[in-house]
This record gives sequence, C-alpha cells and structure tokens, in this order.
Amino acid sequence: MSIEKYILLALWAYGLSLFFIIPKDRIRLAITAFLSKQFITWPFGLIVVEKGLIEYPVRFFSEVNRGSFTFEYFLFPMTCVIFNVHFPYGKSRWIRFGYYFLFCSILTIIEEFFKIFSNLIHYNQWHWSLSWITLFITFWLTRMFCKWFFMGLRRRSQGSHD
Amino acid sequence: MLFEYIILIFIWIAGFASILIWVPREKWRPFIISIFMCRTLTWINILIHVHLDLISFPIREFPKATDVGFTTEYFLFPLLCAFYIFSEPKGSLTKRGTYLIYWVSGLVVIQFSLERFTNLISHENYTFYWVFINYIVIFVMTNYIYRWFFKNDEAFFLDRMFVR
Repeated sequence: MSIEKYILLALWAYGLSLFFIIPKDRIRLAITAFLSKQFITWPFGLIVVEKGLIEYPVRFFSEVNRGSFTFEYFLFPMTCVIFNVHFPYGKSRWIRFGYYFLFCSILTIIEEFFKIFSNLIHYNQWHWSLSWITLFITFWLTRMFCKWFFMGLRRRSQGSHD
Repeated sequence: MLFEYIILIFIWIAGFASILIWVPREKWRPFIISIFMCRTLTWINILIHVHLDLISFPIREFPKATDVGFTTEYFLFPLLCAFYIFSEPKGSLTKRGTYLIYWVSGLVVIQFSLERFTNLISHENYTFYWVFINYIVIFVMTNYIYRWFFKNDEAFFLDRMFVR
C-alpha cells in the first residue's frame, strides 16, 4: 500500500476524531451541515474531474470513481460541521468574516501542502485562489442552508413537520 | 439527443414537479433533509456495488469522472425514500412493513425498467431480490435516522440558537 493510502486512512481517522469536538447540544446542526455539504460536493467534485480541472492520482474506489471519495464524502463535510457548530453567531461582521477567512485559508494551505508533497491531488487547470473562493462559497451556502433550515422550522405543536 | 438523456431530464423535471405538487411548502425542510439522509446512504452503497461489479452504468452523466450513474442515486431514489417517509401510515408494524414493501417494489420496478428498456443501468451479477433487500435496508435506515432527528422537539430548538 502506498504512503498516500496511509495518509488517506489517517485523514479518515482524523475526521472521525472530529466527532468528539461536536457539542452534544448541536448534534442536529452538525448533521444538517454535513448533509448539506455533501449535497454540493458530490456534483461539483464530479464536475471538476469531468472537466479535467483537478486530478486525484491516489484515491479510494479508484477503478470506478475518479473523484476523491475521501474528501467529498467525508472530510469536506466534516470540516463544514466544525465550521458550523463553532460559528461565532451574533458576533460582529468582522469576526464572522475572519472566521470564514481562517477556515478557507487553512484548508487551502493544507490542500496546497498535499499537492506539493504527495500524490493525492494534482491541479491541471486550477489555482489555489479558485480553491479558496469555492471553499468560501460552499461554506456560505451550507451556512445559509442551516440558517434557512433551523429558523424556518416550527414546533410540532404548531403542526409543522411530521 | 439520446433517448437515455431524455429519460434523465424527464426524471429531474418530474421529480421537482412532484415535490412542488405533493409537498406543502411548510414541509419542505424536513422533506429535503430526508432526501439528504438517504442520499448519503445511496452514495456509498452504489459505489460499493459498482466497485464489486454488480451494477454498471453504460450511459451516465459524468462518464470521465465516475462509473456511477448520478441522477438515480443522487436524486430519484432518495426522492422516493423521502416520499415513502412522509406518507408512511401510522399504526402497526405489519401495516408499516407492507407500506415499505409497496414503495420499494415501486423502486425495483423503476430500476428494472431502466435496466431493461434503456442503457442507463445494467445488472452484471445481480438479481431483483438483492435490489429489493438493498433498498429496504436503506429505506429503513433513513426512516430510523429521520425519526430520531425529529424526535426530541425541545433539543431540536436548542440547535436553533446556534445558527442566528
């Protein structure tokens, strides 16, 4: 097994360990964030591979799937969970923007790191700035979804869901 | 345009139309979340199936990126699952079980029509009862997760404090 496969396994383990920093009282928010992120990553992960913008030379399900199952199915959604459950809600606009900025920057740096030092990801026609922007947009979209989802729900006594 | 592409476009249009027609606006949120839950399961499920050469998708939406058909697994089957969860009758286990079988049979019929009459799905080493069992498991799991998700109403509204 190549070193990259071990890295992927380590990333899965790391992602699973993130479960422990989800506060118990926000577990539903975490699930909503996870699911809504997957909603975006599946089609868009496929599109960037289909158009040949990004390649993932080492990956799981490599014969059947040229996208990165690990990143799309688990790691990005998991990061999004952490992003959403610890979001500095109610703080000033600058702090909230700084939070977005921090998350996108750290993830872009990690991606760049993997690009340079491993065979996990390879850019054909892509740039780190595009990564940063798409991360920002997808974080924003999932946040909007969570907001829309939770703020619009009514209590069962008021006869909404179920 | 290929006949198969017309079918795919038809699935998307019919799917969205059915949501607009049958799902009242105030139920969109739980409806969408149940689609998402099922989709998480069908995604990994179909990858394993294709990986093990049980099913293949000769004509698909992203032929270069993946060997997995996108529309059925991302949209159609989760949509059916959501409709099943939302219309499930209350009552005894037999009644609910019958209802589950009724919906999964519908799914199997769709899957086999796509297999038989189009080139979208092709079963390599697969039989209809496996499709049946497979989707029964997925539907039951989704239903269970969904019920758990919405079970504790008060806890649910704690989460809400964190999204303002």
